[in-house]
Formats: sequence, structure tokens, C-alpha cells
Amino acid sequence: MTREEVLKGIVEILESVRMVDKEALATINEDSDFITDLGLPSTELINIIAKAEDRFDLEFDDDDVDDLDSKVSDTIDLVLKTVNQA
Amino acid sequence: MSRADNLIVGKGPEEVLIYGKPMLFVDEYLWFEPACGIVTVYQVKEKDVKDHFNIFRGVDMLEACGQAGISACTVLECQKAGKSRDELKKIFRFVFLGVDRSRFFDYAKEGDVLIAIGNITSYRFRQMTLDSTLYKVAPNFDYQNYFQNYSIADFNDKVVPTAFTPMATFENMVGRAIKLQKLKMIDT
Repeated sequence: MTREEVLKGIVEILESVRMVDKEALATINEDSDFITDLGLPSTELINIIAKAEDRFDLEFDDDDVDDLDSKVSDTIDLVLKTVNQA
Repeated sequence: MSRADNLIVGKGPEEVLIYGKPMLFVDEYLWFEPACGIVTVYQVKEKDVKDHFNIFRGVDMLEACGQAGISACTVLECQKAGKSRDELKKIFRFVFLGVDRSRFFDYAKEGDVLIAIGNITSYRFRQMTLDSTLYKVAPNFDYQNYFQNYSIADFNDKVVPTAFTPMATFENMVGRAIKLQKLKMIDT
């Protein structure tokens, strides 16, 4: 799985999230921040991570999620790290 | 008593929560079921209404429900991580993060007995979401006996006695265990 494929999957997830800033979503990139750029509350990040588990058919480690920051690249890193550990 | 009650029911809130006495809004745990929710009780004290024209603050109603939820969060995380509450306290703080909608219906004063019922709607990655209702109990109602016989079906059907008057509801309350390191509280 490539970083571009993961980003595409994250965009698909975000398209179903009511609170996301749709204009910001159109220009999302790895440096985008879920909170400051996409307008999401910090509590929504866990829901996005849970959806990413389903979307990529993975099981994230709680400790990895604890350490996660709010940039899109951090979630891409988490997905790829978990894929490589599987 | 439900089968999971012994995880928390009968324990003192000071064993579960880290709040100092003046900030603690749980007297007892009455009922708990990990897949459903938690029921706590708190009797409004003199210190809670002092300097607030003898009325229990709305924010403290929210806090009472929040502490019920955080208690459930603590027990679930202990189960999941296989650690004791004391071990967890050295790693995490259970932090109230948000609520979507609050509705208040009445006020409470010193001596009122308040029951918080928290319905857990999700628990993922150490983050809990729950819907809570706070009730005032009619004087002399034996709530302890009532919840000894409370079933999961009662809980799911939101069955409460007529002796309970709704005081407030809080939708989508969110709390999460956050590592002390992340909170920059590692030395506390």
C-alpha cells in the first residue's frame, strides 16, 4: 500500500464526516491538520481512526493511537506501520 | 445485582477517581455493566451550594455525570489493559473532553439526592462516549435496593421509577484516557 492510496482512503472517510470543512477537504495533503485545517474537534479523531481500521482492515495498537498527532501524515504513518507489522 | 457490578459497586469513589474531596461528585456506585453503562449517586452538600445562592451549579450537574463516565472509563481500561487502577493512574489521566448537547430541567439544592445514569455508546482507543441523564430522587426512596435488582434490560429500556425526576441530560459526552507524558504531567 502506498502513501497516496492511504491518503485517498482517508479522504473517502472524511467525505462521510459531517463536521469536516468541505472546502479544506478539496485541498487536503499530508501536511493538513485534522483539527486546525479541516475543522474537526479533537474528539472526532478517534472516530476517524476507528473508521480507518475498518477501511484498511487493520487493528491499531492503543499505544500507537495514544501517541498519534493530528496531522494527516501521522495517520498515514500509523496505517503503513500497522500494515508492515501485520 | 448485575454480574459486572463487583468491578466497581461497593468501592469508594476515591479508590477509582483522583479528584480531591471538594471536587468529587460521586458518593457511591450503584450499578455498572461494561457493555451498557453506569449508575452513580451524589447527595448535594453544603460546600456545593455555598456562595452560589444555595443552588447546585449546572456545571456541577455536568461534572457529576462526567465523573460517572470517567469512572466507567477507568474500569474498562483496567480490564482492557490488565492493570490495576493504581498502575493506570501512573500512566494516564482520564480527561473529560466534550459534550454535544446539554439540557437542564430543574435546579438542585443542598440535601437533594442525584442519580447519574450514563449510557455508554462507544469505547474505542481509550475514548468513551456516553449519553447521561441526571435525576433527583424523591425523599425516602430506597434507591440502593432499587438498583440491586436493576437488569440490563431495565437499563437498555431506560426504565426508572416514578420517584426519579429528570434534572438534566447530556448527549455525546466524551472522555478519554490520555498519557501523562502527552499532557506534560509526567512529574505529577
